[in-house]
Amino acid sequence: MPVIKVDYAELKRMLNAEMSDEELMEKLPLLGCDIEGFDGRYLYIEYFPNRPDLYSVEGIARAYRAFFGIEPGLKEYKAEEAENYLLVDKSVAGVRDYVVACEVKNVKLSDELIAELMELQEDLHWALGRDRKKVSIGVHDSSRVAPPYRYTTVKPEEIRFVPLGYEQEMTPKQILEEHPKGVEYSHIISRYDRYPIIFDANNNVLSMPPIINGELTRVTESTREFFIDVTGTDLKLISQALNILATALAERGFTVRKVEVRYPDRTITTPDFSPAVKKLRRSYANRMLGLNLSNEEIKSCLERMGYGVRAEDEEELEVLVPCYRCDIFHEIDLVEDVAIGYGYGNFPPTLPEVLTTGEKLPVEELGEKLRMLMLGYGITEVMSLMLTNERENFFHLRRKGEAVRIKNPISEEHTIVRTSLLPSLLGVLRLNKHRELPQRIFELGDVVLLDPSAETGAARKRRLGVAIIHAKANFTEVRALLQGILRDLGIESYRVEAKEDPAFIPGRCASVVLGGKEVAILGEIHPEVLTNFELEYPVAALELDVEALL
Amino acid sequence: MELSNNEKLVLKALGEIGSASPEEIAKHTELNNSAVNRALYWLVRKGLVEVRERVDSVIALDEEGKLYVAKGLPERRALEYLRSKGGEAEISALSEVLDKGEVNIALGWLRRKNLANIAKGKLVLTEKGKKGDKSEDEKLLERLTQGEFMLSQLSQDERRALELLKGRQRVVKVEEKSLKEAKLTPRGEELVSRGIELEEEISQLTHDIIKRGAWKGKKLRRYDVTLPAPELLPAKLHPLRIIIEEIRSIFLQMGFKEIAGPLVESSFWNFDALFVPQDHPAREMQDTFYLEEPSRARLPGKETVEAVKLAHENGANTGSTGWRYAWSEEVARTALLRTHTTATTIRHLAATREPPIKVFCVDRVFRKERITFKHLPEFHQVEGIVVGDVSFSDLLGLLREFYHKMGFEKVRFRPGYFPYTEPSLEIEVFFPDKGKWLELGGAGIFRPEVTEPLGIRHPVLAWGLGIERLAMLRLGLEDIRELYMSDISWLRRAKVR
Repeated sequence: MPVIKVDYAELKRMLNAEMSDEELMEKLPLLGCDIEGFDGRYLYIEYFPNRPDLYSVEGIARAYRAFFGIEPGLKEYKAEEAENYLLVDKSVAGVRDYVVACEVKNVKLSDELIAELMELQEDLHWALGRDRKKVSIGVHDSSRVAPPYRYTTVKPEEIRFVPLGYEQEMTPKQILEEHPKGVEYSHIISRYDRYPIIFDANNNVLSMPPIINGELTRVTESTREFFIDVTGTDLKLISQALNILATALAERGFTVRKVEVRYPDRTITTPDFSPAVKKLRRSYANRMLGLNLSNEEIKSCLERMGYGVRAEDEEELEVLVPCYRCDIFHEIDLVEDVAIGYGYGNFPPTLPEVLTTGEKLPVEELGEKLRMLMLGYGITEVMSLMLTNERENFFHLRRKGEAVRIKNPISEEHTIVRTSLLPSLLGVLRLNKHRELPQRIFELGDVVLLDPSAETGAARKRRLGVAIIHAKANFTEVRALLQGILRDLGIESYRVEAKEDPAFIPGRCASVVLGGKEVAILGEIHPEVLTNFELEYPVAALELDVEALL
Repeated sequence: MELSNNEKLVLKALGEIGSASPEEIAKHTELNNSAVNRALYWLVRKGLVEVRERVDSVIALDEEGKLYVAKGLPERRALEYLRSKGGEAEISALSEVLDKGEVNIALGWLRRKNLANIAKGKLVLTEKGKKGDKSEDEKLLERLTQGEFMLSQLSQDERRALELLKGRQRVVKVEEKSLKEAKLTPRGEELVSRGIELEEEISQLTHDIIKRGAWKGKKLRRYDVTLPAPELLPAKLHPLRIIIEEIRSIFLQMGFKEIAGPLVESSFWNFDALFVPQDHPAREMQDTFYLEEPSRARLPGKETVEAVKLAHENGANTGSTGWRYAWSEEVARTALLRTHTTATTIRHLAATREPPIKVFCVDRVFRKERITFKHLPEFHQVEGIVVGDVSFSDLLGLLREFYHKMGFEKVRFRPGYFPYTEPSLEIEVFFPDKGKWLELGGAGIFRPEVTEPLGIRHPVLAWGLGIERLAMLRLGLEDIRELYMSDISWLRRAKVR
């Protein structure tokens, strides 16, 4: 989630709230954010991915002015009528279908403001744009180019222009192959035979969305007017992104002017700052929240959250959703904002009247008993990771087999899910090889086995594993333990059979058969396995299928 | 004055041998060292003995010294060589008997000990050198082959020789050591001179003594019960397990039923059923472990799949706009390691649907995280779910109750965000020993886009937290890896509450 760097003095100035620093710090999270830090000048605040309208100091100040009651209700923004247009060529269809745009006048910039603006763009690319796939924004110094503008496509080597940060001209193909941004984002457009491009009236390139702007329209401290394009795959999303950006600039005191966007089949004028109208049923809000709020109270909660409310109707409120909010999917989203406006700390805590009785899972209940027995036998519990690798899980035990395999592992150490507890236990002994002996450890945990008949192709199995290491650890000790466990659980009808398993010494390994099924394996670990785990004393071990004992 | 048998033995011994170290007393009395030390401790407290500490040095051969004992000092080897060559030789010829680095050492010492001189580029033995007697430092080296000596045991000549040897690297080790010496005080002497009567005492009761009644008329020795005993370490449950069991028991007390579900999960249950759009960042390869084997999971019935698909695409009849994209069944089928226990709760809800439902799950989840002091690729989550005629107020009340039972007196809530809950919140609890509020879990009401497609008609309250974070705070760990290192020494000593 993006962490927004906010100039604290600027925020306080924009808020214009009579509030001590402590009170402000205390109250900021009540709108929903994590304060990550404060270095005396900048506040680092993490806002949630559903609120990209809070990714700028202007947006943050706007939200808190409403929240603190300084300027509650819907904030209305005006955009001047369009003077220029952007022509959309039909060839963009199927490549990057949509574009919206606006112009901004009376711009006054500082280095810091340019940096903030770029951060806001990047955060919007991330949160709304899925890293530019769905939304990408270009901000241009429009004094260098001439309207009308044209959104179209070109062949990879059809044109040449100087991309941002470069001095020489490049073809779109070269940009995708050589420019760092081209390399980073080429996956979005490289599969097409034509790439999106925005030209001015004289065929100067403003940008090659979603990759890079042209150097020509670079924004600097002396920039006095912007042309902003937002392209993407979803008209609603790019409109929201434009609204967030344009209203933030309007908050700065800049003048926003609309642009006509002429699609082949229709013309729209953007940005559209008019609020969406949603219905909120009072009874629904009260039922979901467990409150008994009047229309007036709901209205005041929503106004603290920056909504406009028309509350004439007894049961239904008409809510005006600000044009920069893009997280209102459903009535329930308004209910949450009523709750936040009401204050989570102000709810009367009640307890639900849902009468039920507690119930343990049988395998967990058996686990509790097994743990009690293990402690009684003087065996200490360990817990280990289930992720492992083939070397550890199979080869070190001289075993072969198949396991659940990760497609995108994070390291060579963790590529599969363990199929046995023995490697985990031997791994714990290895970590403890310099500790005092004897060591007797157990783990009650899961292994996962491939199982094509299972719904997800694999089945988890609860196992009990025990490993004992000391100078005289031997078969008899684990055999005695196993007999003890089965006796204590009242299981009598089992057979112990000789077993060959490469992890154990031949002739010192056995399996336990219960109801015709092998449910446990035990024995003395093979010296080669011990060496693989860097162990220098004998180890006796057992692994038991817990579910088979239920 | 009451004296134990051992104390009497020590007094007697000191009366006989005068001042002595505890080891010497032990030899004399045939008591073991710790018994002697215990007795001395009490005799000092009773004013009968005084123990003085004296600092002495232990002298022993070091690595290089051992080598010199075997080969001879460099100057000795040079000397013998010169003697074999009739008393003089070229300096360069010394390399026949000396290592490269030793030539200069040998030259230096030959001259310092007045054994040879350099004349006209040649090395010539002095008269003293021709005799070739052993020097004091060589004699001391030889003596040290018999073992360690105390500095106080050396003669004046030997001390001078020691200083010479100390001028060489790693030939002798000299280590200061404080030695104890016990001696009777005047009161102790008076007592000893009056005669000490030994009386048989019983320390460990034995089967035989009890059976025969042999203790009668004898003295049962008094122990110093204030002394610490050896450390006793039991087999223990893992500290993380203790916390898991505590949380399970809280849920069970509160009337929740325990559930479990698959670790290998379909994207459908892990994400889609929870209204997480298919291009959501959490679903990306850098956050979730996807599987090569098995790569695909089966989906539930057509009806369920279709309902979830529509919720994503247009909100279906839930009143939502949905995410407005083309939902892919193929993506939903992708197998992964579940990233949260909510995959299991939503499975359970889809199968159960009708309230009252109160379930919980404490289980392992996986995230694509590099192992650091803060993160592990797998950890435990707890999740609680209540379905019924319930509200956000009920959720807050439940959370207060749950966290109070966990031992947190002060709990507060602030807005949060999860893709599948609305309203959502984060829980903060106050840690008095840290003096601050820390986030410990999240909660919310399942979104209608989650519940309605699965046929769940009542609000679903849900909350969860990661156990490892709680465990670290409770156990005072700075490094999450310690929880899974299973250091036996740590486990055996870990607190159980």
